[in-house]
Amino acid sequence: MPELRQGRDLAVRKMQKTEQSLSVPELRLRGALRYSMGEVAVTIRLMPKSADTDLARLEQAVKERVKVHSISREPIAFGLEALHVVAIVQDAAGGTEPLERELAELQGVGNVQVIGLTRLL
Amino acid sequence: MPKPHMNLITIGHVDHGKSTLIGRTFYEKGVIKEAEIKKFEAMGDRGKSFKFAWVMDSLKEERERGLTIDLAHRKFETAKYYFTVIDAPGHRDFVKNMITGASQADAAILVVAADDGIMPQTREHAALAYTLGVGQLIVAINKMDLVEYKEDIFNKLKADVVDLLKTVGYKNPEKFVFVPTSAFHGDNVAKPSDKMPWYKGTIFYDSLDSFTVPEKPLDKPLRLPVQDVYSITGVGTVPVGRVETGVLKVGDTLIFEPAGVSGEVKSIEMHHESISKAEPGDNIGFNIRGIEKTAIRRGDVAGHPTAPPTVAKEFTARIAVLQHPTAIAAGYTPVFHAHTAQVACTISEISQKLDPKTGQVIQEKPEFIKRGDMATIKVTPTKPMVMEKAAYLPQLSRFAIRDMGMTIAAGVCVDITPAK
Repeated sequence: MPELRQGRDLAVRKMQKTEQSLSVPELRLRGALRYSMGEVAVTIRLMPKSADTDLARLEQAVKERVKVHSISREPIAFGLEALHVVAIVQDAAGGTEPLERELAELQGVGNVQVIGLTRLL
Repeated sequence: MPKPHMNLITIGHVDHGKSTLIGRTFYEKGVIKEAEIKKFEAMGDRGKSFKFAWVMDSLKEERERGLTIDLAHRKFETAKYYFTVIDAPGHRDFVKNMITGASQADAAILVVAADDGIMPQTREHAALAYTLGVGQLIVAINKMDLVEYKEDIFNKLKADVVDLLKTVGYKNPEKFVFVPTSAFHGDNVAKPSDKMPWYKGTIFYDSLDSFTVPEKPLDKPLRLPVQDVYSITGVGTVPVGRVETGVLKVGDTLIFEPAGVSGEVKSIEMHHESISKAEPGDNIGFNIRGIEKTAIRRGDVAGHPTAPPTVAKEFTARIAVLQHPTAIAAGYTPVFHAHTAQVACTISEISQKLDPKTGQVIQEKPEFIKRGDMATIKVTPTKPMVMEKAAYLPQLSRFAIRDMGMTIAAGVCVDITPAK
C-alpha cells in the first residue's frame, strides 16, 4: 500500500527534524553552522533500458526532471553506454532515494545505481 | 611508474572537523591555487588569521557558482600516493549507498574532537568502516587547541578510541597512527606543531604514506553481482556488473544464482575494450552463451560451478539499528539491500541484544530492539537471494535494511543455512 507508506514516511521525517537541533559548541569558522550538515555530491550511474535507447534524449529528459550538476557518458561494453549524473542533495534531507526514484521513472531508464557519494567541503 | 591511487574516506562526527582537516591539507599543500590565496589576503582587514576561513568559504562560493564540483578539490598527492577524498555524509540514510557499493574506500581517516570525545556518530562510522572492510585507519585527535594541547587528554582519548575500535572488530588498533591535530590552526596537519613537543610520531600528512594499497581478493571464489542484463544485436546476452571477488576469464562456465542457470563466457569488455580476464573492481559487460536475457536479472550473482554463490534459506546476522520510529520485533519484514539485490526478508527471531559499547550479550531473546541497539538476528528471505558469510566472503555479506523510506539498520551475515 504505497499511500500508507508515504503517510508514515512523512510522519517520521517530521520527528527527525525536531531531533536535529543544531548544537555547535563553538563557532570556529565563519559559516560553521551552514557547514554542520552540508551538501552531498551524488554520482549516479544510469543504465539505459536497452542498447538501442537514445542517450541524447535521455540526457535531455534527466536535465528536465532533476537539477543536475553534470552529465557524462561512461562506455560499458559492446557499444552500450551509461550516463553518469552528478547531483547535489542536502545531507540533512537524508538519502538518495527521492533522486533515485525520480530518475528511475524516466522513460528509457533500465536502472539507477549510486556509485559515488561525498560530502562537499 | 605512476603513483598508486587510493580512495580515502573521512569519517567521524559531523562537527569534529573532517572538512577542516582536509581543507587545511589542501590549503597547505597547494591544491588551492596560490593566486586564490593572494586574492583572499588582499581582501584585507580580516587579517591573515582569517585566511584559512576565507579559503574554506571560497571553496563553497566557488562551488555555488558551479565551478569546481568535479571533485577537482578532492584529489591530492603525497610522496607515495594519489588520494581521492570521500567525505562520509552525516545522515544515516546514506549508509545504504555505502553498503551497496558507492565509494569503495581503501583507507579511512577517523576524526575525533579532543574537547568532545567519542560521540554516537563516531561509533557508528567506525563500525561502518569496519563493516565495509576498510582495514586501515589514521585517527586524528583534532581540536587540540581547545584542550590547551594537553598530552594527558590526547592519551586518554587515544585509549578510548582504541577500545572503541576493538569493539567494532578491529584487531590491534593500537598499531594505527594516532595524531594530535588542530586543523583550524594547522598543527601537525601538514607541518609539525611547536605546541605539542610531547608528540613524537608523524604528522597527519606524512602518516598517509603509512597506508598500503589493499590487495585485490583475486584468490577468492568468483562473485559478480548482476547490475543489469542486455540483449545486444549481433552479440547476444550481455550481463553487466562489477567483479567483487575472484577472476572471470573468457571461456569460463558460469552459474547464476538464485536463477540457477549456466552458460559460457564468450567475450568480456570493459570501457568498450575487449579483455581476456576481469578482476575485482572491474566494471564489465560480458557475452554469455546458453542463457536468455530473461533468464537472469539484477540481483543474481554469477560464480563458477565449483564454488557457486550461496542461496540463503535462512541466515544469522549482526545488525546495528540506526533509526526506527518505534521498535523492531520478530515478524518484521523490511527490505534488505545486499550487493545488487533488494529482497523483503522476515526477521524471524531476535536472538540476542548486544551492548554497543562492549559487544557483550546483554539480553537473550529480547521482545524488541530499537534505535541505537545492536543485535544478533535470524533472517528468512521471502524469496531466494544470494548471501555469504562474513568469514568466507565479506564483500557479499553486507546489507542495509530499509523501510518507510529510511535506512533502518546496517549489518553483516555471520552464519547461513543454504537453500540446497
